[in-house]
Amino acid sequence: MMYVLQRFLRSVLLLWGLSFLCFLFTEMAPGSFFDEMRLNPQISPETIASLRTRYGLDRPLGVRYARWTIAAIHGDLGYSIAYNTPVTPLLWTRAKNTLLLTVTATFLTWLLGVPLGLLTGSARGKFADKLATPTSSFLLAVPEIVLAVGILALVVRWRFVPAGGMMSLGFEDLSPWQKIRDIAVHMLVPGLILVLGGVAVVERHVRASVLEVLNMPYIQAARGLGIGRVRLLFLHVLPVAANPAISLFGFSIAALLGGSLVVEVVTAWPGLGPLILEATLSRDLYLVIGAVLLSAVFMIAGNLIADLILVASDPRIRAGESNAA
Amino acid sequence: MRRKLCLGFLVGAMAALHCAILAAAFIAPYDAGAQDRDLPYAPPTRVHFRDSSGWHAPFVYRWIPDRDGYRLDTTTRYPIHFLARGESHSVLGIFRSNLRLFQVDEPARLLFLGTDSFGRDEFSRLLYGGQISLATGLLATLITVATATLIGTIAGYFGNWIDESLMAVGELFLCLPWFYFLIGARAFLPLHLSVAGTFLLLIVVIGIIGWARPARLIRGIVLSARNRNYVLAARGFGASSFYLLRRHILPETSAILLTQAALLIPQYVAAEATLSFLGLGVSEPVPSWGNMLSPLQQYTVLVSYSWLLAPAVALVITSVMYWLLADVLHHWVQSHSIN
Amino acid sequence: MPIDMNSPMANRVLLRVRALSKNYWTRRGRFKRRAPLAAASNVTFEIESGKTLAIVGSSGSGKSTVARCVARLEKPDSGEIWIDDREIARTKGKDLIPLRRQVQLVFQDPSTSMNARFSVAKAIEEPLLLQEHDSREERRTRVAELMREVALRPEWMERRVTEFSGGQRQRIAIARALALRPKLLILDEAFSGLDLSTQAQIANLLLELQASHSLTYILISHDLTLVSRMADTIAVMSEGQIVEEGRAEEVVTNPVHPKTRLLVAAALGFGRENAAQQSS
Repeated sequence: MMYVLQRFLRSVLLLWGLSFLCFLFTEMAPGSFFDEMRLNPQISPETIASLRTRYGLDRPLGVRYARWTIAAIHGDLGYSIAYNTPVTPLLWTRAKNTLLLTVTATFLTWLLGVPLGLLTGSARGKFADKLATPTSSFLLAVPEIVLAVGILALVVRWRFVPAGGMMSLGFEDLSPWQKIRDIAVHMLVPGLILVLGGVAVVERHVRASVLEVLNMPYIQAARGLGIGRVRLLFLHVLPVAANPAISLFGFSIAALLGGSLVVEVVTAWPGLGPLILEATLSRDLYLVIGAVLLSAVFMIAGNLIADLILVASDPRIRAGESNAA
Repeated sequence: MRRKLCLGFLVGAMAALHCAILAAAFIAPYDAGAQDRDLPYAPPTRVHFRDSSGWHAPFVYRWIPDRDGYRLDTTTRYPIHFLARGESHSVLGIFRSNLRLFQVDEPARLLFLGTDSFGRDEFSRLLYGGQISLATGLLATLITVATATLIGTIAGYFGNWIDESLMAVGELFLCLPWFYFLIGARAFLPLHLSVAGTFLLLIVVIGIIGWARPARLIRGIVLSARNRNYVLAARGFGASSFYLLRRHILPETSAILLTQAALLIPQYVAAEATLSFLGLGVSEPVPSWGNMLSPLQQYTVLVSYSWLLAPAVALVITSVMYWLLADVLHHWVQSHSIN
Repeated sequence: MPIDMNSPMANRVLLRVRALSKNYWTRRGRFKRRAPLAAASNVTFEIESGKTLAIVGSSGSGKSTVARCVARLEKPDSGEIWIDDREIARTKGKDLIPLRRQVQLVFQDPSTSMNARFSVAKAIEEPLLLQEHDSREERRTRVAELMREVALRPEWMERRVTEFSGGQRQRIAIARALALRPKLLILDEAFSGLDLSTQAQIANLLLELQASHSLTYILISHDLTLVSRMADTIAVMSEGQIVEEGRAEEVVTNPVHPKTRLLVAAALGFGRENAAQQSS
């Protein structure tokens, strides 16, 4: 219990630290944010003035930080000059799109990666392993951007798969089932890129931990007792080999918002990635901060969840805690 | 034996790649910025050894702009001149020379990898771009390794609250959505700097983010080395902390530093490529493997001009080679530490 | 013990330890208080120059703590340590460095007490490197001299420490400890890792060295048999305190404290078996 509280506290502290860093960035940015706003003829001076007082720019640093924090907790992450709308709803729409892509991709990655890792780990040196391992090593080595561009290059020659975007023209007119199909088809390319990269990582990890466990004396003993291969794998090996996999799973959750930026940009998927890119290029301060903060929340939450699952599943951690007490 | 052969091959290939990129100005037929507005998106010129009149020294044909593309002008042969005079370049910034490995006579162009939208030779730009991308990767790695060693050593050697606070900061860094942070950090710095400025900025920003994981490893090594009896014995002879670190503790970290460096270099080269691709890194007209891939975001370019994928291939080759090296180093370290 | 009883060195007290105490703080969980573990409390003893004191006790009795405090590898929490009428328990920093020349420690395990990457020469010359300002040749000459003293061939100087056997490595460690010509040598379980015949060899070597260099020894051990050959006085420690002290023969033949009796019984039992084996 202490352990859980500790980890939770740590996560909160991390989040606070991160938000402070983000806030510092807003302060440190050269050139006043509002000077840039003033240059924009679409925003009236009254709006600027009211925003100024709302953000309390004439107040000392501590007050500004407090206001910013309170606003952030309430979900108000500032105003976007490029889009001329508050940041939060903008982030939210895009984040949903990103999550749609990444959750599906992560699900498929683990669905494919774990069995593959189990297979290659337990059948080391055999055909499946000889085929899968160099492939996954290669995929790991290839930088994400190359993977994205390369797969896109391959795919665009076959016209049946759309090369970008999330929806076709005339999307609104489609029936619900057709809508789902449409989005799914558009998800093929970015999803494929994400899954290929992800499966390589998962397979590697699972394989490594399976190999490590298989070498342990108690597994040898179990085999000596005549326990069959499948039962051995699932009942004896998997629970122990699961630990590193769970940490990796935490990373997967952590990367749900932040890990697909390049893929989204390359395939023009309207997610958080292209948004933050645009925001950076147009120096849209609060939008960038908001996006960074949002994905940081996911990262920290993901790590926390992984820790919690580990505690729940690994009795050694719980025992270790009571030993120290 | 076979292992040593493979290793030798790997080292040789890496050395060849790095030397080629270092000697970019010599090997590349043209300057990185040399445009030819008459030849945008020209396909690669094939090197021929024979035509209707028999065998010859290697030569190329000239591309003539046509209605929808190019056609080959097979009437004239343009032999490749080796070690000929071309556009001048400076070697290591010290002395100028105009000796180049390959040249052809005007008006033909020697285009091993075709041209881009401005008619610039892709092969030349690939080499020059490699200088930028690799240099960024190597220098950023240097920064990370130096920072990680410093912080890891301090944390591991002094322990207690120093250790805890440094590792907590490290965890913060590990937790960051580092790519977003990179982009965010890039956002708050002036968007258009001088070439040197951008380069330096890129190196520092990429290098600073990744110190946490290697630092943790180094800290572990320093921590265990610090408690060894031979360190205690040396203290008994009156050794200062500096001596202990220099003679006993830091040498233990060299193996893992090498492996970490080999792992980081390809990641950082990829990071530079990605940033430049997105327009946040090195910008035109300076070539880098990343920004050379940028035009491929357009559908038509991606489909029709596949020779522009050359930087992607270069990136793959570089990454794979460094990963293999890291693997080799990892095994070597493990086998050495058993004794 | 071959000590000249008429020499002025004899009967002069070299080391005086008074009320030495050292606590170790253990961490029990992150948010709980730290409980002190009394490793040594109120330890008092003396050694005369040229003699050998053995400190015996079971594991955790505090012997190593006392050894490390005397060698100033740890700082005692309270108490006094006098070497040749200089108090060293309170000294720290730069002042401690010259004092280190007088007391040296030989560790239990020679494979961890020397850096495995070092050559014999590098290992032995380390104290010289740190304290003296000799040139490389002078250091190497001294290393050769030291190696001869511990019956190792100087030609082996450049070999790695790991190439030697346990007994030879312990000799290297002893040579290293002697480099600064200390007056007091503390042997912290220096025999424990070695087999019986090697132990005997090392013991003989130490006796010779003691004679030729007028060394004073503190022998730390849990093995009474071993120690009774070499020691003039024996101090028995249990749970951080000295529970019995006296001349070696007295303690072994007439143990008073129950702890001492246990140790003697164990040693004698072994000795009896050994004697029985040898006679059969």
